[in-house]
Amino acid sequence: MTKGKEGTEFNRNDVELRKTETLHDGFFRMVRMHLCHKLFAGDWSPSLSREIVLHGGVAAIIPYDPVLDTVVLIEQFRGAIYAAGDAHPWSISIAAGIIETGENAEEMARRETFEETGCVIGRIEKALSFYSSPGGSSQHVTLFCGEVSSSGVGGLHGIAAEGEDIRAFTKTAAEAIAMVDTGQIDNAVSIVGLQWLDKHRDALQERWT
Amino acid sequence: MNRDNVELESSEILHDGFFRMDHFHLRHRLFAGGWSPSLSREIMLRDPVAAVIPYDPSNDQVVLIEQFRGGMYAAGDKTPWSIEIVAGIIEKGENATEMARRETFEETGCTVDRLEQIMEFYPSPGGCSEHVTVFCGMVSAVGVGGVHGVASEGEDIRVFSTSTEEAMALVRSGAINNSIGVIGIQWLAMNRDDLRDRWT
Repeated sequence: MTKGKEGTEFNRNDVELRKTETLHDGFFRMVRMHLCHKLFAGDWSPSLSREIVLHGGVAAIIPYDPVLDTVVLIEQFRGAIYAAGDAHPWSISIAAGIIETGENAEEMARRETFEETGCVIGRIEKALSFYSSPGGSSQHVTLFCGEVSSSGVGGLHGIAAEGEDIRAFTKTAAEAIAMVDTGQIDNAVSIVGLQWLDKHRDALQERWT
Repeated sequence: MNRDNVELESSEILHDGFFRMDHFHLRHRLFAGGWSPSLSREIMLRDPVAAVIPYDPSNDQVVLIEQFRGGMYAAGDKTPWSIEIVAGIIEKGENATEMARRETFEETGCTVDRLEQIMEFYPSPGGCSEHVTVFCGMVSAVGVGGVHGVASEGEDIRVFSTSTEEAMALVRSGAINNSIGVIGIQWLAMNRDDLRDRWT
């Protein structure tokens, strides 16, 4: 596959991994990789040191009600937003969770949506997949859009034993997309998802109603 | 709810190298009232980032870069080179606007004329404090290309430009598959007409 229009294309074989050290192995695992790679001008880079947090995959889902043209959103505390010094460390997002070993992304998206919002997903389509922060993390997100009925959605959800305290609510698609512009929704998974929904909601309504 | 509804009980440093990882023990108020039990959270602490969509409104061209990404290699990706918009860490004492202009020049060779802040977001707030401020910067894409980056920082960056439509096709095909790039290009597709009205 040619990525850019000038046609330079490197792959994994153009990287030489010399050594991997484990820096931390707890809830997350952090490694330091020593590697070199081919350069665009030909030749090889010097040995580079890269610290990387190793993550499992994430599945995220835009729970969309095509009949009412609404989106189901959740709000929860986020420790990393607190650590960043944010005045409001509660984050509004779409449903998302880590894919456990042996589970596929779509199953996980269905299960996580039910756990976080109480909604059962009907039809489901893959939207996009992307890396959250590929400079220092292996985290990869598979984003779906799933059909839900949002009537009566609300209340508190989440698995208390996992420290989850999640408030579910609905917004019209237009309101949710506007929340990206105002900064009320400020996490990558939800912004990518709502921008995608803005472009595809007319087509989804035709296909799903 | 705000910061006052969180009680930090303790934090310890797990790793302090190029990045830092801390272990936080905290509790917070619950939606139903009362407080959560003590929660343990491992958090990677990162400096804030500024990103720029370098856009030429006269020619409808967005300047893109391609570079190796260790996180993609570690994930097992077959092609661990990433197509992106401009981004870099904001150094202490530097503001996001200055950094956006400097980084655009270093990574693409383009000088930014007008610069508008369009969005702020957290790429991965489940476990990382990284915060990104995204700008759209007016550039001339005429003659852009070649290889850029600060070699002493291990940067090897290929520069090219495409139309907004072509950039959106790269998002759809998965060739652009990093959060900053996807968000920036989807924003551009939604706002391009307004931007061209205002900037040309």
